[in-house]
Amino acid sequence: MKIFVTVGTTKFDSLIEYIDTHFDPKQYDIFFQIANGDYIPTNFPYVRFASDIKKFFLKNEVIITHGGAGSIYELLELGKKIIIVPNLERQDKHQLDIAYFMDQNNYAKMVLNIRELNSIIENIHLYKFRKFKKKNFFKANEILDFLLK
Amino acid sequence: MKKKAIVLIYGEGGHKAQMKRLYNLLIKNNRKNDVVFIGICENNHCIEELEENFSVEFLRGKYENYISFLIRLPFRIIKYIKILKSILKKYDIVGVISTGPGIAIPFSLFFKVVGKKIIFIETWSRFNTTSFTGKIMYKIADKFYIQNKSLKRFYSKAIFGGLL
Repeated sequence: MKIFVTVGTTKFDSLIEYIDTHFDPKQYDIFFQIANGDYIPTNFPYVRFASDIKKFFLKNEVIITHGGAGSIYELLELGKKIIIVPNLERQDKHQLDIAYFMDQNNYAKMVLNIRELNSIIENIHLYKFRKFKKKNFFKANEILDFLLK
Repeated sequence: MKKKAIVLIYGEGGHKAQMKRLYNLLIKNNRKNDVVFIGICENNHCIEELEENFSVEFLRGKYENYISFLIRLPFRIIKYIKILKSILKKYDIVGVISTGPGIAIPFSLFFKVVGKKIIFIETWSRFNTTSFTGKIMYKIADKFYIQNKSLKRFYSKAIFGGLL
């Protein structure tokens, strides 16, 4: 199975370290995007940042993502199967909000305890998620009119 | 002759990503062309396409605790005022749009005090919780936009605008 792991623009060492050391390279083809992380993976390849991250999204079956909204919306727009792991290493825990929303509405699977990742990945083919339909921002004109009148 | 400008205030990461998307929508519709867009960004994470960017330190760091935040606050405010003076000297500001986070507050307040229009867009990552910045900006902004309808119960006067 081809899996891509993305942490966005904030390091998430506990996630990277867990996956690097608890998944069998003979069974899984994993690629990491680690940002400014201090933990360097030893069992799977990685990049810190990817200017064209979309190509990684497209060529992997499952994406394990931090709870960043930008990443989540982009992935769901592409129709990818995603597992959201909120980054609770940060001072603020705001990533829980969108992660819960997506999980409770069956758009994605949220994981709070990273040890559950192994069994979830093993059974990922059993998960059937709803398609998230994004309502695009439509107030740009209103904002400009208000500022320039 | 000072150029007419709209100030875009945005932090790094998701805040910058949202502002970039908003900026692309704004320039598509800005056929007047005599208004430029300048940026107040965090720690040099700036949108290069803007006319000019002013980089500032964050109001509160990702890992910063409240004590550190309170101690450093007055120093950060002094630096912000210097930036504000440079902007007002150079541009004829029409208004301010911000996607957060914390830096939106002092700058929006300053610009409000000098009579400018204030717009705030609450972040796309909030569905059932409010942000520190959102709670304060709700009281300051002339127009407060939300990207998820579920936030209406927290901000009754908010305008739903869809997702950037």
